[in-house]
Amino acid sequence: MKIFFPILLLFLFWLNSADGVSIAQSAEDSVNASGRLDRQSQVTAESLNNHSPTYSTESDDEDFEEEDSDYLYEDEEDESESYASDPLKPWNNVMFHFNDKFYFWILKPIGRGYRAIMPDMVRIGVQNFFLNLSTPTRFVNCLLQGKGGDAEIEFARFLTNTTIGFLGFLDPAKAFHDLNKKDEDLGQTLGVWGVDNGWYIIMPFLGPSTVRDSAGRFGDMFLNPLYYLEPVQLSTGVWAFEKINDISFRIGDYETIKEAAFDPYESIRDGYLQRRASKVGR
Amino acid sequence: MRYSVLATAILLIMGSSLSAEAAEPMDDLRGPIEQAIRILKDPKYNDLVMKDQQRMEVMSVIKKIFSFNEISKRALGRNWRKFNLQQRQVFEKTFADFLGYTYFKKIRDSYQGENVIFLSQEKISDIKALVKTKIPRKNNEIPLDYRMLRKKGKWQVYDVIIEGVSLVKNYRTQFKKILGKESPDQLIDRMRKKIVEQREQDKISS
Repeated sequence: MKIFFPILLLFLFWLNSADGVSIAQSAEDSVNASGRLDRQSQVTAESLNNHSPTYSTESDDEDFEEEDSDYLYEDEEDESESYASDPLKPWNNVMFHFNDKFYFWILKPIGRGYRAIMPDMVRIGVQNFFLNLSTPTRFVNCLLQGKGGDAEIEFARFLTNTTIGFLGFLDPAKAFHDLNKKDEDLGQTLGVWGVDNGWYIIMPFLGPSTVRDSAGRFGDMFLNPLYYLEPVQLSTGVWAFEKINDISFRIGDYETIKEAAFDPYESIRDGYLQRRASKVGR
Repeated sequence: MRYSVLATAILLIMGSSLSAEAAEPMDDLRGPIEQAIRILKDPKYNDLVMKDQQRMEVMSVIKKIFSFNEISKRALGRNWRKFNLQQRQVFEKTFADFLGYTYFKKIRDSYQGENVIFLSQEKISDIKALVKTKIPRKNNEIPLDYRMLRKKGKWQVYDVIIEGVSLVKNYRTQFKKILGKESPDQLIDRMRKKIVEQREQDKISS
């Protein structure tokens, strides 16, 4: 299981590294080569063709004069940074529904039950504990992005919270020194280095991501002490516990996003990409 | 005594004329937002029967500072041109209602007496500004930024950015997808249906 993930990522990277034209080309080739890939590759070629016109300006712009057409141009300004094409849409659609059901049938009931029996203080403590454990990830990524000051803050937070914060269950660094956690990860680091999102991809259980961010998540895994727990069952169990604790704070968020959306798939895709872009920019 | 009254009067006059001259986006925003929070906190609305009235009161305050015309235009982007004059008006009204219902419900359900902290304002140009705020919560804080536009000397909100996600842009990507397949009337219809849906859900849960 652990080996499957890197292979998938490598495969995606390989696909992703080819530029649009050659992918479209190879998609066409595979149509000829094998009938089974027919539908998949057509979708790929189609979506590649679909997204290219977004960059070209529409020609009928000139005959549209309005005293205040500022809103038209602003549209285009912010499209590029938070952009990721979606050639894997058939897969993503399946995963979207899978995760949706997983949330409503499993995650939400467990999270609710957990929230009902665990006092707020314990849940916050557990969250703090896991956040403290993931300090190496944030610290290293601050450094990789050349944010020395932020790295220092992460280091100071770790020292403070691990000692007088009882192994990280409390967050005195924030309470007394107003030192805020610096939300950095490898996906953002790659973004800062100029790596584009690549394709949008929805991971089973993990939710929305892109090729870049998945690669980042994979790299970050090695910086998290939990990864080195043996046996694997224990590591997975602890990880699941962390996720349930996390979700117990966020029950209802997903429902709100869905309720507020006319096209939940697109809303979540855009929301994810925007949030990531804003984090990279920070 | 008399002098001090005079001095105060002069100061007051000067003060008010100064503030009228240099209307700052953050100051324009602060009043209505704080008023909306007061309505949210007001115990007289605790009864669920009063919920609708509370929503209307909040909306009337919000409408003072939010320009739903600008919000609608920007949420539709290029598609705004596909709408005729009447459709534009209907869209604007329905979209405002929809946003009012959806977000008021969310805010009312999760509101725990938090205050909004106004952090800073950035003037992007003569007529555009970004006001940054945050809402401190139990275990985290939610950054909430307002994009504002000056129209006829008055600053108005045309976009809200929650945790880095622009609401207007998020709706724009959705509307773009939908209007690729459907007509403006169908979109407006969808919106109406969602409002009805939410109203019914509200009745069930309350």
